[in-house]
Amino acid sequence: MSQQTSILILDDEPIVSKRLRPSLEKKGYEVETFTSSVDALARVRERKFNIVVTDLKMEGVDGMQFLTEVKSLYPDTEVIVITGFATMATAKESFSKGVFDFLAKPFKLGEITEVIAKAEEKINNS
Amino acid sequence: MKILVALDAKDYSKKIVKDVARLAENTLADIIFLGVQEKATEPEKTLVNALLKHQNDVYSYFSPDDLPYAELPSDQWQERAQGDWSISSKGMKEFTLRIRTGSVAKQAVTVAEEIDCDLIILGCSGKFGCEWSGEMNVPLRIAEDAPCSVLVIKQVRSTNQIVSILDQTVITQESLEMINQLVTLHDAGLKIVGVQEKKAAKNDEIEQRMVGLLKYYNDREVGAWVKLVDSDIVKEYVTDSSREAIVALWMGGKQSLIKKLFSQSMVDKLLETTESALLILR
Repeated sequence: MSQQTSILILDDEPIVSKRLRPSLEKKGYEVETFTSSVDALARVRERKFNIVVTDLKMEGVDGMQFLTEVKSLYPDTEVIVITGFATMATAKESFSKGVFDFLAKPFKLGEITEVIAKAEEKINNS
Repeated sequence: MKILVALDAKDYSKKIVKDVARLAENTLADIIFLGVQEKATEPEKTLVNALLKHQNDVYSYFSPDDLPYAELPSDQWQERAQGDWSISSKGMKEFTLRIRTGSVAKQAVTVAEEIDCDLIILGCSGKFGCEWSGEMNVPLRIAEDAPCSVLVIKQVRSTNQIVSILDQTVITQESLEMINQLVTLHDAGLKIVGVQEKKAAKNDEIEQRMVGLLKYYNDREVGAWVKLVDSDIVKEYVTDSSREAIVALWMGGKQSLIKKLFSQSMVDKLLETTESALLILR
């Protein structure tokens, strides 16, 4: 039996994880959600996730610092950025740090699950 | 984010393409350009050329290294169904041209529902109210029936303020996020306006909601102000604001106070008088 793909979701707005988690778990993913970037950072230092979905604008450790740390610890973890305050500059900075995709909010559940499926496919093919 | 843009060959459509490109550049959105023509067996050349020109203008806005869209396959329109054609490219993000036959307003709403988009954008003529060529009240009818937020751009101008008129019913997360993207795009300040009814029990509730929203924006370092306006002067307030700022109207469900205050004719009048853009939020 193949191992479950693990996903960490970090967004300081609880509604984001509340929407995403049940749908992703239903698809068979192992999901952990965080609203605090400090807590999420502590968790990724404990274990590796296959896919990380992170917001950018957050108190404490911001999303850019968080994804930099994730890619530094686990270069093959695929990171997907979700942001309500999108700019070309933040998109370019994110891609320069190796993120898999960049999604501006609002987005529909179908859009992010499609991106997650593509990230999973990339992981499985590597 | 997925954005549907209703376009034709007229000036009011040409004028909004740069704003669409700016939003596409910021959000890296999937874009669908929709053109609507009268019943025919194939896409009309004029409309095809107009959509291709608009698409080229968006692509040209990006520096080649930053373009998230792939080139469209040349002249390979696929007939999806009778009176429904599309041509699409899948780069990092998807860009689609779509042509359908029938009524513009009806087709825009149908496609928005089908593709589950997050925003519909369209322009409109400023000469005689806010109209589209050959069809009455297109922006208003789309705004009324769309399953998502609708941005009607009357005049393309830089704005430093977005005025959001707060509804007393549910404010969706999607609508807050849409406001955030526009604030970011225009580097604008945000004024949140609550509407208070005389002697209404819900006034405390609306104040609390405004405080909550102010905290939401302060936490995200967005310059936001709140203001309470009496319901009997809100129409004048909105009309005045719409001359300079982008006005965002939260128009929720059947219980929506804003929907009650802003009848169809009032929204139509706003679309007529605005010298900027009107965002109908859902």
